[in-house]
Amino acid sequence: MDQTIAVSQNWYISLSALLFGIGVMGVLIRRNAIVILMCIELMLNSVNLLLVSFSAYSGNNDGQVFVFFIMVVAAAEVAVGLALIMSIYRNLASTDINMLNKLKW
Amino acid sequence: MILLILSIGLLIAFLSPSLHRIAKDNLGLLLAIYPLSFLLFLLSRGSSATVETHTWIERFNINFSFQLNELGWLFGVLVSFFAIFIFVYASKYMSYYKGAGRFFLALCMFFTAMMGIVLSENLISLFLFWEMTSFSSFLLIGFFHEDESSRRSAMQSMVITVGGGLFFLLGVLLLGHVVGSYEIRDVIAQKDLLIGHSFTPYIVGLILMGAMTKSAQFPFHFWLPNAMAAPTPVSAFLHSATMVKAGVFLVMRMYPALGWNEIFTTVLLLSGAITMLLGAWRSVVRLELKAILANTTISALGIIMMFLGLGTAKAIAAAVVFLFAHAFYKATLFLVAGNVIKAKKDKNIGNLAGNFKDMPQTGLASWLGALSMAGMIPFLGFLGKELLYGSAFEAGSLIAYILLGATFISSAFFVVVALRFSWYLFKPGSQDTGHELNSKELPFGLTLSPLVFSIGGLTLGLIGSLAFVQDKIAAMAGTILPEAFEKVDLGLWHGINGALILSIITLIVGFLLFKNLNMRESKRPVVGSEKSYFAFLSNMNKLASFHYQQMQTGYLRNYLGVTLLFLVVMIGVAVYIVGQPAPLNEILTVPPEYPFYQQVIILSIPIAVGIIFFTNSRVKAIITLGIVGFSLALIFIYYGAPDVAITQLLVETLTVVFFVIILHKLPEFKTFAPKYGNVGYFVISLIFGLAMTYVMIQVMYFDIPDTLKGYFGEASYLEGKGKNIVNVILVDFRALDTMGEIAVLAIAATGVISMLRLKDHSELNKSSNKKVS
Amino acid sequence: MNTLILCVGLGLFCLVAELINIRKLLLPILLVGLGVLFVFTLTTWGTELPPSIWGFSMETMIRFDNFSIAFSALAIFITALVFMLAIDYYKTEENHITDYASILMFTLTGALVLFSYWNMAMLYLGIEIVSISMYIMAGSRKFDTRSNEAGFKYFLMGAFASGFLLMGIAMVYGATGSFVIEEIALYANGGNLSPLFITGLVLILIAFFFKVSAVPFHFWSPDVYEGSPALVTAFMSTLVKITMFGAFYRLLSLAFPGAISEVYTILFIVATLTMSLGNLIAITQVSFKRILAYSGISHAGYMLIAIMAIPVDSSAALFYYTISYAIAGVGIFAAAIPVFFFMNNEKVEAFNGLGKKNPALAFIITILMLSMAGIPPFAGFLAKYYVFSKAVEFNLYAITIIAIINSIIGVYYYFKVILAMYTQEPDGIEVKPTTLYWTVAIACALLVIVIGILPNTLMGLMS
Repeated sequence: MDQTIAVSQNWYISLSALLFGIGVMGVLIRRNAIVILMCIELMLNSVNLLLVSFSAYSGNNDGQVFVFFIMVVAAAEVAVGLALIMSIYRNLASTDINMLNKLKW
Repeated sequence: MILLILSIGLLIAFLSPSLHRIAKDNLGLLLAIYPLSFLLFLLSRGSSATVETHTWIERFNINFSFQLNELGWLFGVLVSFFAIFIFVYASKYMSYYKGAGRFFLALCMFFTAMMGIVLSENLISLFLFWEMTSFSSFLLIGFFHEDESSRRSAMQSMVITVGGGLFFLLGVLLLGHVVGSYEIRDVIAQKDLLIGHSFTPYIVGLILMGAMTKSAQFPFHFWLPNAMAAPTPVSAFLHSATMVKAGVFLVMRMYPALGWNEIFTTVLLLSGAITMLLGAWRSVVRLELKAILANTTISALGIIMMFLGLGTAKAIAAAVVFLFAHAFYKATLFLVAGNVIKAKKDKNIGNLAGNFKDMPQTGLASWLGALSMAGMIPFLGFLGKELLYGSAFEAGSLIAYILLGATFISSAFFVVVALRFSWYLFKPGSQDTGHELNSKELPFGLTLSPLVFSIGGLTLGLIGSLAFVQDKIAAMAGTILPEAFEKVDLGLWHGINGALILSIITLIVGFLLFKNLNMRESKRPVVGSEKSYFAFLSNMNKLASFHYQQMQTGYLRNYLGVTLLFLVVMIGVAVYIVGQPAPLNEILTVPPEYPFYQQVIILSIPIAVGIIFFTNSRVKAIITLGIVGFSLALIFIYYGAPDVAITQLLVETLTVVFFVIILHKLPEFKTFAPKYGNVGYFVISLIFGLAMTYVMIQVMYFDIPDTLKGYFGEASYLEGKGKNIVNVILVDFRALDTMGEIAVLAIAATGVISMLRLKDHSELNKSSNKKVS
Repeated sequence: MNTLILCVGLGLFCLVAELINIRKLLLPILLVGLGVLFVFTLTTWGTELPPSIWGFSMETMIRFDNFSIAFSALAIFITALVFMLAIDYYKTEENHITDYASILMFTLTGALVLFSYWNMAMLYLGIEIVSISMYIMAGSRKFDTRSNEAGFKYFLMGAFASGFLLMGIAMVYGATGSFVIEEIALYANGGNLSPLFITGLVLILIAFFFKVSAVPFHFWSPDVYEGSPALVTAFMSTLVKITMFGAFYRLLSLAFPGAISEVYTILFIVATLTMSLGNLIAITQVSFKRILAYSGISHAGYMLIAIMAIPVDSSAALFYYTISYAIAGVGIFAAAIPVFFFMNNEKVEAFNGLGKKNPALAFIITILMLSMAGIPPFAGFLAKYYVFSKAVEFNLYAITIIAIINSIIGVYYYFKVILAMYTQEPDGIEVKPTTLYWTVAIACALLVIVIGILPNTLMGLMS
């Protein structure tokens, strides 16, 4: 691979870092459980991007294959998360995570 | 054999609650057979150098090995002799209280553990018995558990002694590391390995820590006076021959291996001296009978430790003899105190003058014990004190004279205490008028044991000149300090010498002090170490409440914030350790060379993300989430991974559909007031983002090793007989992964279904009825 | 290999059981299945069969060695114990039993994967299987807001951690070009590690710190333990914890042996914090489950010492520790769940006067608590001893001293429960555990004693 591609890939890599960071930030500062879930999704997506970039960079396909698993597992995770949010909503009539403070100390 | 006896002892201990149902109040007499048979066994076997070994854990060299060497044998005889009469006494004493079964369980266990300590040859098994004494003494001290302070004292003594034991264990581990064996004889044989080894100071310190906590040496002395919350027989047993002597025993046992070390002797000297003076002073400013005695115990232990620290042959012999003398008179006096408290229902010595008429037998025991304590001729206490003084004179160094002075001071205080326990409490012919007496004289069961102990002290003093006794003592001292012990002179009369004169002066000074010192209770000065024990406790509480209020608040974002902050620090530390920062400015000035469509993609993603971030609209959020996903799919295509891209599209579509369905059921976003947390979280996450980006930017400066490339490419083409590499890998190599994925999906599906289905509404009632189960 | 397939099969069988309506027989059948699984696992001891399915070699995905077999057997055993408790525990909620049983079976599958993975993909999958099941189980009491909260907190923290795990795996992949354990080890041993690699490793470590609830990544665990149904807490605090430690040990010892020294400082700080904070907070707790949560945290700290001592092969020490910890943990729950149930209270005060009400039960709890506190002669003591001796062997003195100080503090709160049982007055409510609870509790207490007194076989296993 020539230098330009390597560099441009690095911009993708940086993009993925940026996405990951934003995802983390979202989890941290948003209060709506749904948005937090979306932000986690974002984190996982950024990893996918990173894996594909590395995979292309090093010329082996393992990274791409790994992405499949992440996608499937992430989907499952999101489904479970949403189900949990639903049952919380049923009991508390809210999806504000700050309502979840009964367990402490 | 020894192991067998000890195991039987433990068995007896655990049976004693059931035995209590049969034997009722005579349980103690019944159980006294156990120490009695132990004593007979020891006497019949005699001391010997043979080692009895039972391999326990081979890989650690941990064996249950026992040796009846002179030191252990004599200690064993002492302990089991005391145990017999303590059991007898306790049999009667405990009949006044509930829970005698429980009491004897702990007492038997304690006795067994103590015998285990004195007979153990392996340091680890010694440690095990050591901790067993701590645990069983916890049970004994906390026996009157209705009393809050009793519980607290039990806990305190437990924490201090168990803790000290663990440090001892660490010392033993290190010792084993250096020497290669935990058998004491091996350690002694190879002590040259320790000389000059860098671990030696730690080993010495840690082992001493164990001994000093157990023997209540400064600065760990404070648990002992509190431990008098125990029932009287326990105090008598613990304070005279057993628990507190375990530390002394350990020092003696390790003396041949560590006695050459200056740290070892210096610590013993210093802390012994401080302990001695502290205990002696406190003993005369306390009014509670048992507290007075507890403080003299501390003082006596200090004396023993101090003379062990002095380390001359004579000093060690003196320490040994004094140890015996102390055991006899202290057990006597504790039992006397117990009897007085029992009969008069009062434990303040100030109210208890003149009991002789009411309890002559106890009074006699008390006189005998007190005279021994004061060091009167011909009691064993006299011999002890003579030897102490004599050895200090003989050593002749400056330190020895300082020690002599200190010993003199505390001996004078001992005389004061002794007079209070004899002249004051039991003035012949006196009659106490202040108290109703419960019964005319205490039952035989309660007076026998103190008499036995006090007469024992007298007898030993008288027969001290017999060659047989002197040989035994010499042999015992010889195990501690092998350098030449042929004979210890225990004759009562050596002519008029410095020691004798000093003894007489001690008595006179003590008497004067007794006359002039008011009996008073000084508000117990909480010494630094006890203060720091409590300060430690309360600081722990403070830290805990900080944790509650600032961290474990129940708010998720709080958790995440703290975690993230730490995470950034960790990454920083790690990257710093690797320490090859790439030149940032160089990287950042490389102009991006992208085709236009890529620039659109790259730009669109952060914009979309920003929208998710700040929007109040659900639809916008979902749409932008979709945009991110689809843009990623485009990037995947650019990378030549069409199958990944297609899957991404599918999954993304599915996810969006999920969200739409769910959001349909949920309220608008804006229902909650402030959308964002405080600035702190923003800053934390910003730092994190920057850290991540920084790490990523560095990537280009580190090449990927290409040794690994191509393995999969070649292998899959041949073995999988396929052409689309990704697919082949997916199907064949990754069948396992797929199985795992199926599991994940099955779990998720099951979970989601079970969580979302509402089969019947009766469930709701059911669960509210039965919240906890 | 067959163990794994059988395990998935049992999980699927649970789902089928719902359809063919044999719920009543489900748990007995599962217990038999687990027994078969257990024996089957043991028969593969020492054989190191090459893993394969239908003739395809799985060598780059999964490998079975004595480490994985030993841990798998332990996990299966613990699962069987928990299932025995489940029979009575879920008696009242029959319509969910198949779901829960299958989820627990899948958790076991995940655990087995985590003990034998040879590829980061399997590691990730295993962790996700275990975690997702636990999110569901924690929130399984759907009308109880505390259970909801526990489930969601666990989920969020767990998903967050998974994100870090993935990021770390991706970075390691970027640096080494491989997901296969031995190829990563090749790179890690080569020296001159790139910051990318180290950052990746640190992120993976962090993910594991989350999963094993090491301080300061522990916040979820007390809350989740408290809010989850007691049986789930039992499962979480034993099986899941030892699983994560098994996986953690495997990862660091096989994939990153050359890089441990780089992250030694981090491990040291985290282990210190974990032990100290866990013990410290446990002292002040009033909820029994929270005490166990914090005690679990501090035990994680001790186990981290075993991880730090990887260069001197501390696998046997870790194994022995996990056994003693997990068995005592299950036993405590087996004895405590009836107390919770009859007293309708999950605080320490529920144990007041148990020594008088039900001396046998109190005695069992005492034994198990003493073992947890590390008092000889119970297994917990030797476990600590083993770990400490490994640490001393590797010259980790500072951490050993810290650990010892912590053991002393630990004694304090375990005795708080024991004191409550023996010194407080009972309130008259009878506590009568069913036969199965008795069986499990007694079995665990006996095991703790037997393992403590006759440890030679177990300790010799791994070396």
